[in-house]
Amino acid sequence: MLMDWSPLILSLVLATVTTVLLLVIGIPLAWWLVRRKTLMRRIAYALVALPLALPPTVLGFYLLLALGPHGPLGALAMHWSGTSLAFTFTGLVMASMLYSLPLVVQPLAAGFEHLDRRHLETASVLGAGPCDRLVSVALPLLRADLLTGAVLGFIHTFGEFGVVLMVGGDIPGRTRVLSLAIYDHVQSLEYHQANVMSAVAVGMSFTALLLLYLAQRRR
Amino acid sequence: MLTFEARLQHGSFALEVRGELPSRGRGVIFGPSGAGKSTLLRIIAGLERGAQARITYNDELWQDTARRLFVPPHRRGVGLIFQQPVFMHGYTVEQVLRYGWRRRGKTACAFDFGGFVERFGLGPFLTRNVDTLSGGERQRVALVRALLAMPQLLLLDEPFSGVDEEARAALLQELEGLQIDLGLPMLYVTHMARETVSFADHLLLLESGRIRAQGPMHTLATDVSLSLARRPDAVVAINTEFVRHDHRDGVSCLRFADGELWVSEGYPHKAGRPRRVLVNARDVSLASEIPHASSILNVLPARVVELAELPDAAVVVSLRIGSTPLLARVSRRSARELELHPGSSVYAQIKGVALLNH
Repeated sequence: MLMDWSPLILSLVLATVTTVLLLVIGIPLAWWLVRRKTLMRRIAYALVALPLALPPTVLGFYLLLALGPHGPLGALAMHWSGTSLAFTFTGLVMASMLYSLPLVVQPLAAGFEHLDRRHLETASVLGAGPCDRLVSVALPLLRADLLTGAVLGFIHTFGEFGVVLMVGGDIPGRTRVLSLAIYDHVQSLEYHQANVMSAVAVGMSFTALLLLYLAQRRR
Repeated sequence: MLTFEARLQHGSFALEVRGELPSRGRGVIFGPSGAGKSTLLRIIAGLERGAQARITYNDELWQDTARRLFVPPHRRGVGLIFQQPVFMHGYTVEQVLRYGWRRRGKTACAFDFGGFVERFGLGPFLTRNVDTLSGGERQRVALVRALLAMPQLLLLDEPFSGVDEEARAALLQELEGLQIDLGLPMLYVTHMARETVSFADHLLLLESGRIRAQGPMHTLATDVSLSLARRPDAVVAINTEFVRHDHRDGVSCLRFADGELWVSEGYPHKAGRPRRVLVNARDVSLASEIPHASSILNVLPARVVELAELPDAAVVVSLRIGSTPLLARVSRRSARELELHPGSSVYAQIKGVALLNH
């Protein structure tokens, strides 16, 4: 029987797009969260961590409402493109970003918090403005935390199930990611296919984590 | 002119200062540890966002908290040398130096990248990893990096505290030469009296978050009501010029504004070359008459300006040789027996003169 690998490819694309976008917003967000310890930023920090604590179905349910035709984001998308975000790849990306946000932001926030401020102060008296300091000092010093955030964000997105089921709807070729395909195979008693795909998932996640920890050990 | 008015509360420590320093030459902020010297320097650089301050430099307004005006550090054109310089791990000396050079301000300077590297002898170091540098080398790289950013004012926070005494004196001399050559105003923080007196033109005395006194160094260093003159290691600086060297006895003659000093020194110098010498208050003894025969080389007529009793049965005497200030630290008994009072004429016998290396 021929294996359908499109769920694996979809999962990889979803995880890659999500991770890249999360790094783009996660870096400034993490920087902002720890720069000053105001009450508002503490609340924001708790909100960022919230997806870790919620059952994925709860997150997925509210996301479905928000992304659907009557939700704020879905209605906005309807207005622009004529379709809502529920059951679309874009919707999946947005849902995955929220779901994996804490895993990317928390290592970065910890990194920013432990950053030796003297490096930044030295750069500023040498004439580097805030953006310059972020790029030329903070990010190079946070290489390890960036790698940790990226790998954790990637495999967390790669392995998600509840949220993608709620928001994506398991549409073959569009929103059926690896974890959903495995579930479907099991439901249809196609244990061989489920086994092959699961083994691939185990192998890839383990390799990613192993590479991450090997890289961390070298420092 | 640098003017500042600043207030900052850090836990139980409060800094409240108002002062000004000329925007040329060498200013020193002197005070004991914990007086708030580094904090004041950081406020001037713009690194203490919590400070309530009004700061102007020449015709620029850097900060005015009352009007919510704050020029960030990278736009103030200040260089700052920290006590312990930090570098990014794994970078080469050249990468570190180029960081400042790429972001340099518009202050005109006689040197370019290559010129600075050459002047500080850093050519052979350019490819070295900064993690392999010694303490003195690190501070030198940090200094050149700051200079390459072409600041209009250089702030130094006890930059040589990690260097041994002898190397420190040499570095300080080099810094003074640099200041004169570049015409770059410097503001230097230290808790060491000797460094203060050998480096400063202008002085600001800071004690527990308050300014105790400010003004020209020669005035403040010999003011017997201030801590600098009352310390057991009180010292004054005299600006001299080399005159000639006596080969037979191995002594050199230095001329200052109001006379000559003989110093034992093995190596001759070019005549007319300026030298700053240090005279310890403890190395100056006083006599009411010119001594008949003495092993002391320098006996100079002086006038007592002021004197103050110190706790340990000692008296510190502020003197003038003509217009040149000098300090003597004598015992209370000697002061009484010599009947010292403001206006008395005495002979100052200078036992030792410390030359600063050039």
